[in-house]
Amino acid sequence: MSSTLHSFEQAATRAAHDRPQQETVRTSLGTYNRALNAGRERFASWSEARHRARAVKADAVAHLGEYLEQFEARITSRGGHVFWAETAADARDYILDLARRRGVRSVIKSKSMVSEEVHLGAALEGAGLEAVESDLGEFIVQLRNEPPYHIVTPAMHLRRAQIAALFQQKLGTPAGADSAEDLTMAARHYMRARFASAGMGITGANFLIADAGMVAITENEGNARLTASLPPVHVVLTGIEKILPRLTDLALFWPLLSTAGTGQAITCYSSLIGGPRQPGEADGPEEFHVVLLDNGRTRVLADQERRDTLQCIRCGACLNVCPVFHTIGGHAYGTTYSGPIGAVLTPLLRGEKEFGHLSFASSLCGACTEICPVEIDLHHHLIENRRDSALQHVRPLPERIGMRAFRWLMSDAARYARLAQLARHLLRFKNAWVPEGSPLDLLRPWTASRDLPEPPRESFREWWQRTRQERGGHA
Amino acid sequence: MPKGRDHILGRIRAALADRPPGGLPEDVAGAAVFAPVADPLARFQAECQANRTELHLVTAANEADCLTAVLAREKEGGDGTIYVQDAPALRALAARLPAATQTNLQFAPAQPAGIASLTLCEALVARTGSVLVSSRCGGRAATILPPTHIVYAHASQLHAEIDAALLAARSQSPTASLYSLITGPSRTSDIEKMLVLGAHGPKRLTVLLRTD
Repeated sequence: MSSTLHSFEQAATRAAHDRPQQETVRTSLGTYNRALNAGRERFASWSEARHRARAVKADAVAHLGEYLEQFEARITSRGGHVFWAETAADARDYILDLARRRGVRSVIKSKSMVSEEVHLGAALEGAGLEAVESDLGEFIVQLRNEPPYHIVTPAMHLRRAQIAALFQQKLGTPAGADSAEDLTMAARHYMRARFASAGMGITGANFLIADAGMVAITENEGNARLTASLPPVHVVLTGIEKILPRLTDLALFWPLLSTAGTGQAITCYSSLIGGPRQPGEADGPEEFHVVLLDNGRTRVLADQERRDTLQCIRCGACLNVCPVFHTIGGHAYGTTYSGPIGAVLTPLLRGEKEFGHLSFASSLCGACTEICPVEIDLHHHLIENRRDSALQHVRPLPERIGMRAFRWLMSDAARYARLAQLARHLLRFKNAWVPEGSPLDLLRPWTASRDLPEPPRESFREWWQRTRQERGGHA
Repeated sequence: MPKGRDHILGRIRAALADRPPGGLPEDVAGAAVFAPVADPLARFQAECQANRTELHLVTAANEADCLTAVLAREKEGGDGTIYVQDAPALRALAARLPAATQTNLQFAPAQPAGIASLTLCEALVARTGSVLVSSRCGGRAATILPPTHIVYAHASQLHAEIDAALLAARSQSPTASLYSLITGPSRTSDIEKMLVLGAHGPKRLTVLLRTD
């Protein structure tokens, strides 16, 4: 058993029994659900919106190289820099070199899942730089030394009282200041000084617009705008798959992303940034860098079957509707991207060997596929991942024996009928004579947390044969 | 390190050797996706109300009085000055404010932010009740740092849809390094999904819309 599988099983079991946390997450997701349903009503046709969004992103992925070159040429023409990072280490090294060259001491960050993916925070700290997350939810989990719980709502699992206690301890906020407003203002106040003193601002990107050569960033708080405005250097760290062909595509993608992500008609700040401060502009950074990360994405691109996972716009909707996510939460996965998209993508990006088990942790109910705003066929991709897993690995011995026995049993109708009858009798005998939970109750591991119904006296097959004559002998 | 560039583009080309056919749909946000906006001004007003933008319809006759009244409420912030984007229309408007009002045409982010900024915008969007600004509207910080952001706009800048507004901004300010579509004051719901206004950006967004 791989260590990631072992820790996943332990963490998932722990989380599945953590009722208070589930309660907090479910309350939050209940609010999301109501907003999402109201948000979808704002579209003349939500399904048409998804359909067109899929077509646009499919085109973006199918012409990824051309669009990225177009994007790069326009960024460069405004004096910006584009760095192509093959691996997480390449991305980290580039940013650390840049920080060293510019003599940066402190960094202000706004939300970027790619920076989590490459573990940038730890790398910055390791290099002796102060790195502060400016998004409120990210800031809260950073103070707790935790990864984000959810890609859109990082502190979804925490109650207000926990956050108030955290701020009292770490920021010295007064004991009574525990309303959502008080806590938000405490973070605002704390962050203002960091924005002003940071030598570098790092943001993610929601879209890379090929024809305009601009980075689109979606946010509600204004922290990404400040991160891109005040420090003398702005670095955008993002994946190569974030391409959108045209500026006008945003008329669909901005409302689509915010509806799927939070239920909002559009987020508060939908910004486009194309370079450093230009001649005649009052302010803005002196240097602008875009780091385009591959880190396994071109491998997914080469996989025709699962290429459409690169259409993902990281809205988090599939997490929000997933019964597995509801039960085990975001941390149990032990990965940057959790929920259905994480379970599909992580084995592809980081290897089936260590993360293949995530594709099995699903009931395959299909709620993720139904909600996905770019129509990624998520639950079928889980099945494809399982198939690959089964082909690549020798499964555990009990499973192999079990599957062989199953094949032997199912390949002969008469054999199946005889053995099913025998099993029914054995079960009835066991129920009659073996006290439940006694050492002789071999089914206890299964029935401890599940109900096993009493088997019927007569199977359907037997009933069919018995009543056949009565029906006139025609089967 | 151009090696990384060549490697990634090479892998992309190899991966897409079997590229599937299919085209890019035109007009992705057309009538089949969003019902057309019948009355842009009415829609803009309704959306502003929903997203907590304070909207004042003004004319040349009453705009200075309206701005004076808006500013009179602002108590919070720094040295009490109002940052005014250096544009002829705004200079003229600021000249009509009460004599005691301190205005500043140079915005310095390192200084105390003052009580409010007054800027122009590139366009307005009726569908979402949004204001589209660029880095040419007084800079980047002017539209995000002060506690209150006041936008001076004309009804002719109102577009029904986001794409039309973006294209208008690009043709007016083709070299701007930043555009930002602002929809209401800064906000967060990161704590128990409770809405708080004024997370990191302005706590109030006010639009003075000239209708004459």
